[in-house]
Amino acid sequence: MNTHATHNSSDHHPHVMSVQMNLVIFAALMVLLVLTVVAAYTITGGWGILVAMVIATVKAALILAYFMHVRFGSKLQLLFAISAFFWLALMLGITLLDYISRGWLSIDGK
Amino acid sequence: MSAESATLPVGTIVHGHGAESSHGSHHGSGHGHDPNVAHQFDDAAQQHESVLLGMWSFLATEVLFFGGLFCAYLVYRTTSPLAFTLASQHLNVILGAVNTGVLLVSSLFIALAVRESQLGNGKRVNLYLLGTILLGAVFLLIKGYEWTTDYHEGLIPFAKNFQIPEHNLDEMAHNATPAGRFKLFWVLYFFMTGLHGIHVIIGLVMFGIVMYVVKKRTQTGKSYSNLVEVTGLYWHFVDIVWVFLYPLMYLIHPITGGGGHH
Repeated sequence: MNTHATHNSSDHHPHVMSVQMNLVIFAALMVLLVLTVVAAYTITGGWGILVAMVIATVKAALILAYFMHVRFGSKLQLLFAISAFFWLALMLGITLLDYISRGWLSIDGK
Repeated sequence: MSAESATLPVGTIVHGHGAESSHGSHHGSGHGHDPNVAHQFDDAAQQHESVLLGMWSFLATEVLFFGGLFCAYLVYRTTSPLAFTLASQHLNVILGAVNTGVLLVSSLFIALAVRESQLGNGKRVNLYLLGTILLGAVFLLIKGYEWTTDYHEGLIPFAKNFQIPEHNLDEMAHNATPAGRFKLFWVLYFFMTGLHGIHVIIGLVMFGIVMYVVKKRTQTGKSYSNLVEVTGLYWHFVDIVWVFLYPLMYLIHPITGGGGHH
């Protein structure tokens, strides 16, 4: 089987995202940016950080899935992407568990 | 490790013949040397997958590289929330938001550059890359302006003029918060935004190189889409780091109020 040597790109075609789809994702990201600023001024108390982090995570997920093509890539690529954040979640999660649970014990020098 | 992951998809992508037999003898005769496929790969699909996995491996290390700093931030913000709130109120929320927008637009440009590279429009690729470089420069200029302002306000730790404002000191003293944690916020702020800024600079230099390569390869008819795509992945990652840095540094609650309520 011969390859099409004349064509600039190869015979293998990765997923090409339409201009319109790119713009939709971008618009969603900008809306979320405005939302996080508005939320920062309106929400007081402990929920603020949670809302801000949820919005940031949604933004990151949109960038990962569409701009970084994870949604259209192979399963192996998805595994690589997830593993990066899985280890991060372990590091942050276990560290946080330690610090928030220290106060639960009435032990000197905790 | 990387060799293993690079050979993993072979079985799924190469049809008919086994991965072992397709190497070597078969390679030269059957494929007629596609100039766009390096000879360690069976075909463009396998090369594309390997290139992406290579960048994803690097980005995984980057996530943990920045992750260590985010972890330090998490620990000290959890243990001294007041100091972080007071320190954060010295940052300019609007400039931070503008810079987030600038990076989001640059990410859109890169996504469109990747699209054009897949379609083989080298000139449009370079237009979008040039736009990204300009936006990256705007980001750094705004950041530089902010850092200069921070310096004049005496907020850079270990600079001679570093001084915790009087009313912040009072409030922390009233709430039994160690004042050193105020300084620690600024250490983390400069380390994290500084490291991010270095990544932006590296990205801009890389895009400059990519523009040159795209121009040359457009003339010779060689493929450049993989190159644009992997540098694009890097840039999107840098954008994601900022997406988290912005709320964590600038939007600590409550934005209004704070200083001098006690």
